Amino acid sequence: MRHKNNIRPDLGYGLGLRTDHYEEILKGEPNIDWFEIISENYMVEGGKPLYYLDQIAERYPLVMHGVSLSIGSSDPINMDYLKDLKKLEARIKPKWISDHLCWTSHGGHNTHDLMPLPYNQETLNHVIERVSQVQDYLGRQILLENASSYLTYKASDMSEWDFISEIAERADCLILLDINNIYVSGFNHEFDPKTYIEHIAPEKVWQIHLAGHENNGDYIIDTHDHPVIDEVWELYDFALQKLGPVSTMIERDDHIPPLSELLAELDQARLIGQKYAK
Amino acid sequence: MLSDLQNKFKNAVMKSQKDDFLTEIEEGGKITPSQRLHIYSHAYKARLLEVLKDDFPVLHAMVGDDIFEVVCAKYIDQYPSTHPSLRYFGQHMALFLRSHKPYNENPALIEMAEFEWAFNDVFDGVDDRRITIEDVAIIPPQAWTTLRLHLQPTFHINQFKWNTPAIWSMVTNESDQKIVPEQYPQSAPCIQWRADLVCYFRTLDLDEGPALKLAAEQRAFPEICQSLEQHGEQAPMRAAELLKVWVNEGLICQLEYLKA
Repeated sequence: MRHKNNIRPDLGYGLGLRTDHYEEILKGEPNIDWFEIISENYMVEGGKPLYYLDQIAERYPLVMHGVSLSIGSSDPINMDYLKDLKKLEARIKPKWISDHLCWTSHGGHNTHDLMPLPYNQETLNHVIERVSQVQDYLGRQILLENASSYLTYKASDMSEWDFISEIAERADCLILLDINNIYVSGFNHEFDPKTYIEHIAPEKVWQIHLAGHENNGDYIIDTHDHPVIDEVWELYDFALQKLGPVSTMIERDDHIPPLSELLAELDQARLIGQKYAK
Repeated sequence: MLSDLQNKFKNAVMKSQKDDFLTEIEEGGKITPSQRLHIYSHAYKARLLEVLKDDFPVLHAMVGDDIFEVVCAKYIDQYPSTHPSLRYFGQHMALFLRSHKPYNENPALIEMAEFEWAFNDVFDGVDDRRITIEDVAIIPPQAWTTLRLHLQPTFHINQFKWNTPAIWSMVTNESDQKIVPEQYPQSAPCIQWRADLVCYFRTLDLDEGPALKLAAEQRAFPEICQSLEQHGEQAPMRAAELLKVWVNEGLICQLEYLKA
């Protein structure tokens, strides 16, 4: 089934919702257009996580971002997980749901890491079938994010940008483009990040992630614990030239700074975005 | 085959069986296939260690950094995560300690793992309302014999032989006192629960334990009174007193009784 009404909404500029900021958000209602939540953190029965989430959902648009869908795993889709995901979706009515183009589990064991996929026809067919299964169950399109990676397989025979583009096209899903991840993987695998962005169909990209990383000299780790670096801001500018306005957010997962610091980073994204606003 | 490749990668990361997988990695670039694999295997163990540190901070303080890391390394090897959420990764810690030397020779550690894990469940367990003294006041006199209490869904009760709750408080309150596990003369029941959004724990009075266990089983109020027979004629008064305490502490979420 092809999904209709494929007009990209522009939510503006958002942040990843983090527990450190709950009170400040509720008291101050800061200048943030929307929040992204880590779905698994709220797939619980009650208590503080859902208490705060319900209140923030009343005030801001939310999107759900998962880390454990394991769309590329050779294990069967975890239907208990999907059921819980759908329950959370019904509760907070997110603008969309995303996860990563990777695998996280095998043989019933979870790595809790975003493991890379071999980019070839076998994987392509496998992932496309599973995306369809997930979208049919949820009754909506999902967004898949390009994950950072530190190795490539001998079994790969296509580029990551061709791989994700073909999945988005054939599975009729959407893309969450992480600009930092493109930069990180470009460094680790020695490709030009701009080539990646140039090959992505603009209408498929519904969300952009911006984040920081840890540069170890010979390789970069996607730690999400630093501010966005200048090279990634430039790449974001380049991406918006190609894609047009896209809902953008800053993703910080560790060493969470005061909200004011993240708001300043978000203002930087706004400044760049204003150049390409329609 | 995708499954075969993922199995090799998983075994390389989780079981350090690297050789089969290293040959699958494209060579080239500034770092070797072995270094590339190491990024994943290091991240796997570091992430799970952080989760266990978050879930068992007092157990960590009791054994110190070095032993805690050894415990966690063995735990990570033996109990790979089977749930999509890291929230459940530490669920077997008490079982692990109970079944491995030399940790099973130190029961205070096992009790602490149980106590800390119960707080995990209390923290995000099912929400329910808390009844008030006003709700109790409107119970018709003739209905008291049919009264059954429903405790919060997050209610936990454990028998502790060691001063586990006291150690937990000491470490959590950042006291400078040395941690000295002490065995109680006789085991004491300790309860953990959440009222509204706050997690609580309390060691029960000697007569309160059996009474609250009956309440948790939703036995009729007269049975609770009977369990307090050591108070003689004062048993109903003691039961009413305990009920008031339980209500004020937010332990009760529903009063069930025949209204007619």
